[in-house]
Amino acid sequence: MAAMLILALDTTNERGGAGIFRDGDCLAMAENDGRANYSVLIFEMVERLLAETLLKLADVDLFAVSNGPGSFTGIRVGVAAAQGWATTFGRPVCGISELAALAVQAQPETEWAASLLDARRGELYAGLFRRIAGSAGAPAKYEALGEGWILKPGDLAEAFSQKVPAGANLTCLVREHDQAAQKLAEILPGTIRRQVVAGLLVPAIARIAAQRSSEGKIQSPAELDACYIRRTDAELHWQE
Amino acid sequence: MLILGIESSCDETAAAVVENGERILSSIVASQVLTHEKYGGVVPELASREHLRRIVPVVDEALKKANVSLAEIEAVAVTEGPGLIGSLLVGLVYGKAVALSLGKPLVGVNHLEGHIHAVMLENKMALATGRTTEQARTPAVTLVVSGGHTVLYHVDSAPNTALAAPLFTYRRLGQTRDDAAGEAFDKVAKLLALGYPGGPVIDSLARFGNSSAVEFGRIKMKGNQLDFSFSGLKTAALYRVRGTALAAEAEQRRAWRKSAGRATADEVRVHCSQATLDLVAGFQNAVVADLVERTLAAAARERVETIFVSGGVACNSLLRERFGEAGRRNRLSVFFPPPSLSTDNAAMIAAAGYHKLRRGERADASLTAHASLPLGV
Repeated sequence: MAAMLILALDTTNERGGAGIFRDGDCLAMAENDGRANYSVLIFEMVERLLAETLLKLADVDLFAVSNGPGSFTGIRVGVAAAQGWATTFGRPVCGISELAALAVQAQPETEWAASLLDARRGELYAGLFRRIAGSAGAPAKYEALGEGWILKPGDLAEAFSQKVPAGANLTCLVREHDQAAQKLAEILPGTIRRQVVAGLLVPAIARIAAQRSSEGKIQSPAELDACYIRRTDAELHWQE
Repeated sequence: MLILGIESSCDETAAAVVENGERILSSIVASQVLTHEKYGGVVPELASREHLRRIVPVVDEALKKANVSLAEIEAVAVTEGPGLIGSLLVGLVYGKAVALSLGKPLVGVNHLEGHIHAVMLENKMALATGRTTEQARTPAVTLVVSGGHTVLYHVDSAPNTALAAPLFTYRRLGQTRDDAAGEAFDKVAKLLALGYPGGPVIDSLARFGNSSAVEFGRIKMKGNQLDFSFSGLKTAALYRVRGTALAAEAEQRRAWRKSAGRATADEVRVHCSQATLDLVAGFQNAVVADLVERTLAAAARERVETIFVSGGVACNSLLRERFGEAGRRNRLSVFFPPPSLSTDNAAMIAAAGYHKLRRGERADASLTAHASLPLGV
């Protein structure tokens, strides 16, 4: 099989970016320099990456995009851009959870990986992942228990204890710039290990997309949707 | 020139293919009425989420219906504002990704400019098919009236010459200081538990009411007499309902609607007393009278002989009737698009975009959405 070219995007948070990957190798990557407007920035970044690698968008085989959780508008900008490009060139897309992109970076011996992201408003997004039996030794592969949850910090330890068997090897993953998630990880029971990973999740997104693609788990642009986890205020507060 | 138009400024995801700004090959609109119905108004975040689910299939359907491929599209026109920022961005980013990756010209269009061009687009099609012989000429005073906007513009265009395509110019004469007319219809419909959106159901019910039974009085404005204000009218309606038998009746209707689910205007009418129908008719009459009166005043002040009326509320039958009468009485030509082009659609965006493209206007990667994008001066 010819080398597969992946364009990976993450516009769900201020530490997002884009990268071009070929069979696991990063050819070029751009990180958000602190500007907020991804509706412009993502196009400029991709243009720059293509110029650096002398590639064209038409060369891309798979468009991988973080589809949340994170900034609602940010998620939509990334997904809509990926959908537009993929539609133009008749290519597939792959929506990758930000929580999964954190989990795949867990230390090799981890049985259970818990990803935590600041959800603002005093809440956190949490994802729980179990290492799939039989993949020990090979690059870690995790299975998600649902799409994730939105939790108050105080409810986290109990949520874990309900879902993870007692005494299991659990690692909690947070991003280096995510103060809220780090603070929370510090107060978790001592039996839970903590791991801080780099803020830019674009390489992990590309890695998961390559794996999904090899398993045939890709989507058409129309099938791709956002994964917000948090419902809208209107839905939460609506009363009959 | 085949143009793909994309519109997502509020609660309709729309795409259209229009040839040379004058022939609609397809115009697809995915309405979100069912999503927002139970809230009695558009919920911005829900609208944005719905746009993302609809944008790919809606554009695909527009291309399929026009029987053209994306490669055959010669330019893309997208709404850049004004509107709900989260909603605008979905259509804008998708359209930008498609146009730039195809290497085709991209142009951003003001949603209000789209509504103005809907009138001229309809007129070109009507002329071409012999449905009319009267040309919609500028200068004209345009009333754009919908759930999000109530604004009067003076519209003019430099002549179309061999060297240059016409340049349209817009001057804002007045606008609402609070609610848009369509928003006022929605709120009164919500108050009386008549259903959502309010405009169409009020239009239907008002035919069975006596508008002179409930007088609302004229809306008085300080300062610019071409500005609008509908919040006072809405409050006046509230005072006529609160603490009266009408309020109890509205509660009964609310309970019935909850159990009955969706209902047609005729079904709702069965659950309305004559007093409610009279109130609805009086309210609609007051809104329409104000819209017509200020638009005529604008035409007189600007000394123009042509009036364009566009936007979702331009579907209102009383508004059409009153403008028709006023036009005949004052020797003014009044133009309305058909309902499908009055409400939000992408054909009008493609039509407005065509003129900008012909003048060489091009957007690049820096194109973004603006919630309060102004039009003209």
